[in-house]
Amino acid sequence: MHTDSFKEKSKLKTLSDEELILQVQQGNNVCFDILVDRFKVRLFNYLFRMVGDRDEAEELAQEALVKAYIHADKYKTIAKFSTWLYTIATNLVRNRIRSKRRAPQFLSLWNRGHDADGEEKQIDLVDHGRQPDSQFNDKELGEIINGAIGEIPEKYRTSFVLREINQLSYEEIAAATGLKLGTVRSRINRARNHFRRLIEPLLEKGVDF
Amino acid sequence: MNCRRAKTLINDFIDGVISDQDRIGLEQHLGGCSTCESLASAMTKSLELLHRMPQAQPSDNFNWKVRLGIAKARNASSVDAVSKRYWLKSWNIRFAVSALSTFVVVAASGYFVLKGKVLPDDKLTFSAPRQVVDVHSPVNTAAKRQEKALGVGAVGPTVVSTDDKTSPGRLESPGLLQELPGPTLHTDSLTSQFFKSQIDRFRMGQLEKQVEILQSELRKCEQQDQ
Repeated sequence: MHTDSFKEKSKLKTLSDEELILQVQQGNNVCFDILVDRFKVRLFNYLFRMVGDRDEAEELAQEALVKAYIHADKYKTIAKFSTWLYTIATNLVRNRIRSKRRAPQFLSLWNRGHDADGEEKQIDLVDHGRQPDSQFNDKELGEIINGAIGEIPEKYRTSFVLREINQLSYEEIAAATGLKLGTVRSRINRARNHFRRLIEPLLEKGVDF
Repeated sequence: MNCRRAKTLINDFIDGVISDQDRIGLEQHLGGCSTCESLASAMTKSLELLHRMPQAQPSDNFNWKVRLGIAKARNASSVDAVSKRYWLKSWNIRFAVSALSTFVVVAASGYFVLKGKVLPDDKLTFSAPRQVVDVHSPVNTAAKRQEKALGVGAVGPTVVSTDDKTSPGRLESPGLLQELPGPTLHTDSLTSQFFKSQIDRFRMGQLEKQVEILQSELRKCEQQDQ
């Protein structure tokens, strides 16, 4: 009995995302479990980079998946399932950020502001005592990167994270965010420059990650 | 190639969508422009750093929480559906009751209106005797005097006489007569008789009282004249 179930699940795992969600529409809950397994890490990472808080990101990821299940009948095969799911998640995180209307809860590594030329201020590490040749562990690296991502304006951050963290194509990002392809490209370029300006001083100091 | 074009192509290069021709042009430009070269280097390294970052992992009970969320959402939606059905049902009942009561009121009103119009006038219509007030009659003068003495204004008739032509001091001159509108009742014969008798009694009672008062006033006047 268990062997049959295992075989059936293994067979379902070979199906594409779109085939699985069609199965969910017909009431097959095992297929939705497979979809959750496939997307939970990607979705969680996207939302974590967007909100900067692990618990909040997990809550949003769960909410997005629950919405996907409840509204599975609204999914149409004209779009990729991943795009549809990212659209749900993007709307949720956008609403969350708008409702909070307060400074993001990222680790504050940088002072906001601009210099006389209107450029972003130089990176100001919190730990001033750290020597340039010292090593960062994964946790510290993650905090620094998250801090830098959190400094990117929200409207650029969405496209940037979907591109650089979730490796979505420009077309998929345009579909998920509802933006034009040119706008997506422009926003990603701006966000990359923003991120580069924040990280560049660390690279210049020769900090080895 | 200028620096602006080079900056655009750096992004295309990172995305891997640059053509061979543009790539060669960009490499040549970067070889001769230290600013763009350092920009391209910093951009590439910062993104490499981002890509090297380990992926964050959700908690172990993530799947269980999703299932719990689905169960809650299903429950909430079923409760919503039940409450919606109940509301719809109660609304239907309310609508039915109000519609029925409106129908009854309209039907009853229509019935009475139609009934009043259909029956013949001679059996239904009862015109109360008109009240004729003679303002120049001696009796009325005395009554006015009495009103003045009591401080009463023009409230109520001073002297009222019926159409029985026996009331004293009644003048036939139309200019000196003020007609007070009497009530016109439309009802069946039995009710009309009842009303008639009641109204007559009432009017008679009023007259008797008035007559008594006026007679006493008249006597006073006559005594003063003498």
